[in-house]
Amino acid sequence: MALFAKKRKLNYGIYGFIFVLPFFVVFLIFQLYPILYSIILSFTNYQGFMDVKDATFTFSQYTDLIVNPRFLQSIVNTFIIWMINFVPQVVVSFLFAALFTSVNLKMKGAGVFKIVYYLPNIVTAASVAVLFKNLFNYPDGIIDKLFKAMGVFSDPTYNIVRDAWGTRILISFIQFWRYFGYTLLILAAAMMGINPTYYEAATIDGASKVKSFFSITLPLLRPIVLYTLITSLVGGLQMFEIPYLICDGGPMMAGGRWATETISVYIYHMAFEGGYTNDYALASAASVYLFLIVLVFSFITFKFFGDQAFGLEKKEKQPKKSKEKEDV
Amino acid sequence: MKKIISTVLALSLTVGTMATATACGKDGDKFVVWTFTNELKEMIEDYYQDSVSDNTEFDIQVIGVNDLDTKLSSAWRAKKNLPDIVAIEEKYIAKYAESGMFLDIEDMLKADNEMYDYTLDAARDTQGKVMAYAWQSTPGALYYRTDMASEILGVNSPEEMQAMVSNWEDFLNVAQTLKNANTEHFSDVRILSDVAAPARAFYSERNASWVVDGKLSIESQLYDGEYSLYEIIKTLQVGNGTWGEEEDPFINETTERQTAWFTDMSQDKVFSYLLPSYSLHFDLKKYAENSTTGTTTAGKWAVCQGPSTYSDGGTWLGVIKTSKKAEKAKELIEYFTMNEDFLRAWANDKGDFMNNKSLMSEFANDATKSESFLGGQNHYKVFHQVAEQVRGNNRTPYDSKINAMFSEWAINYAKVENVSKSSAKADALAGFIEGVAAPYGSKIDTDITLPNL
Repeated sequence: MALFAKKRKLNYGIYGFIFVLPFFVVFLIFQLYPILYSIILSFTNYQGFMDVKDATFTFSQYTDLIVNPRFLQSIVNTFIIWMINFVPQVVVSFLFAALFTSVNLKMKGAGVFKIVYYLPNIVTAASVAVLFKNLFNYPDGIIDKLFKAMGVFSDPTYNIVRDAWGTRILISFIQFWRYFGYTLLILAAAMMGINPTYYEAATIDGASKVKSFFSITLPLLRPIVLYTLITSLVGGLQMFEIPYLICDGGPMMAGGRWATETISVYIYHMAFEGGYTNDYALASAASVYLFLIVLVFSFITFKFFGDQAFGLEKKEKQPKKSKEKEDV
Repeated sequence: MKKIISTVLALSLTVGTMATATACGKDGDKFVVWTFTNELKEMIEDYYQDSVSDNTEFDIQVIGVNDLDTKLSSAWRAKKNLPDIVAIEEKYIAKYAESGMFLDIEDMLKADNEMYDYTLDAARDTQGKVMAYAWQSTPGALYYRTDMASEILGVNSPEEMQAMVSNWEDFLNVAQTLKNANTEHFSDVRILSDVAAPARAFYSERNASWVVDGKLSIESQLYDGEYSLYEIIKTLQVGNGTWGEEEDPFINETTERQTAWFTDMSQDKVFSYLLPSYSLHFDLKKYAENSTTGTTTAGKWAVCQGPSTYSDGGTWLGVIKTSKKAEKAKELIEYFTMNEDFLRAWANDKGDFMNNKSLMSEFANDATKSESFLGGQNHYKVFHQVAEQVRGNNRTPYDSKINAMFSEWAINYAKVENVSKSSAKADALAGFIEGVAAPYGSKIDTDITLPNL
């Protein structure tokens, strides 16, 4: 029992450290180190089978990239595909979330719908890509045939993956279909979290449904909308699987540009895909650009929504904790 | 008690994570083989180990062809956890021949004079040294439907068929006849399933590679002239229709290696496929049966050389420099690429076309060799002829991408997509050149002017 007596004296805080340690170990090895390493690589000429020790400093890939039509197009593609999927995603999710949580409607089976809409999110991207590829495959895909019979595709020899906008819209639709259930769940949960007394008070004051939606629901959802926007923006800018799997970033367009090659797909192509040149330095520089783009847009979004988006006024800084640490 | 449990939990979590992070298989004694094809595994387990009595333990890892490239590249850069020998697919052989990763195989094991020349040329590094040997040779040929040939074309032997399609002009004439066919069993037959099929033949037949003296080189037979690749694809795509308007193609508008392309092998829509030797076993035999109706086209095929002399695919074996078992590796490669007993046994069992001229010539002249899928034809005869003439000195590490880009723009030209009709060819070629410039600009000089545009 002496052992226990001794242990009792231990600082309880030690458990906290032990429990967070795995995360930090994994984070340091698999996240922080690669991030720093690719930033370093982006300033070298490291490529192919070169020994990394022989790599020398150069800045040229940064300047090469800003004039490379294919890379610039990949930025444009990323935003096009993200916009086409994100705007309808938020609108539809809002609408459905309002319907599902409406006190007056008391919709039956809302839970079932939520689950069904969420399902695509848990199917792996590879399976989704194969599914859609087969559905739209020319000339024997079911949807391809259906759309031609219905006249949606007016040209009988139309092949969606050979058409730049066709492929973009298809990829955007898949992204929309995969993620709107998730956004819906988040928004519905946030709406249910709003205190119903606000609505009661509004009703007593004679506010219409529409008025209370815009004056109560929307403002109170602001932090959640910001959250959705930021996560979707970061996720959307890093979009990889679906564009890669549907047609490997193609089809090719004039000027050496590709129609659905997102920044991540471009990075992957340049660094890893056989037939290209395993240009790790260039790919690293592209990923630094991607990082900067994400940073800038996240910053703009935060500015646009303001700090109060989190429902917090700026607080006085807590007394410094670091001092305590030093004492320990 | 709670504290003990939480301490144990916390520690096991930490230790578990650390262990995963640092764990790596240490199997120093095993002979490690990385391959993208199951065949090598079978060769080692069912042939080598049965005939050679030694107690080498093998660790054979079968990895998808593209994943193998990534894995091998990273392992070589780290110079850690490398295999002893590795099987390389054709699209990567030029890259790895130049990588400096392989032991100079000619030094340790002189090639016999039996290997087809192109298999050696394809595996040469920039100094001209052979880096890897192949056990198989993969000549391409035209597999066609005998029932259609006799009913529509009145052709009853592969020799007669060959006489009808020995060049692209004749090939396109046959395409026209098939398209207009209206016989008892067949009508509107398409000569090929996908439009880009002739491209592989053209790339393989080029005199030089895509890059000559650091400059992009586009040989004129690819785009210039009535029977250039561009015009052949256009004719196949437009068919009886009008270019840029209504198409009535000679092909079935599928994409290579996609569902519809395979389905065509079991139906009466497509007359022929341009495919390499191994596709007989891996593709045609596998997809000849129609999964819905249960009918099969097996036995209704034959093979002839067709309008070109080309090869497609293939597997090369190389010994990694860091291997401490080079002696064993040499023994293995010698067994798989030069041991006649093995090559004979494998060919007899699998019908595969081996990289051994006299053996294949013997098979070609052996009246007893017949393939029931091909209606009893001896396919070795055709392949042997082709394999001797295939070129192997026209490869670059970029081929898989550049080939795909060239085909893509040839199709754009044929379909008048992404190009304007009045300057379609110039637009398409410019599109191709820009396509090459974007990823390879710093390595390949793309500032070229093409004659006759």
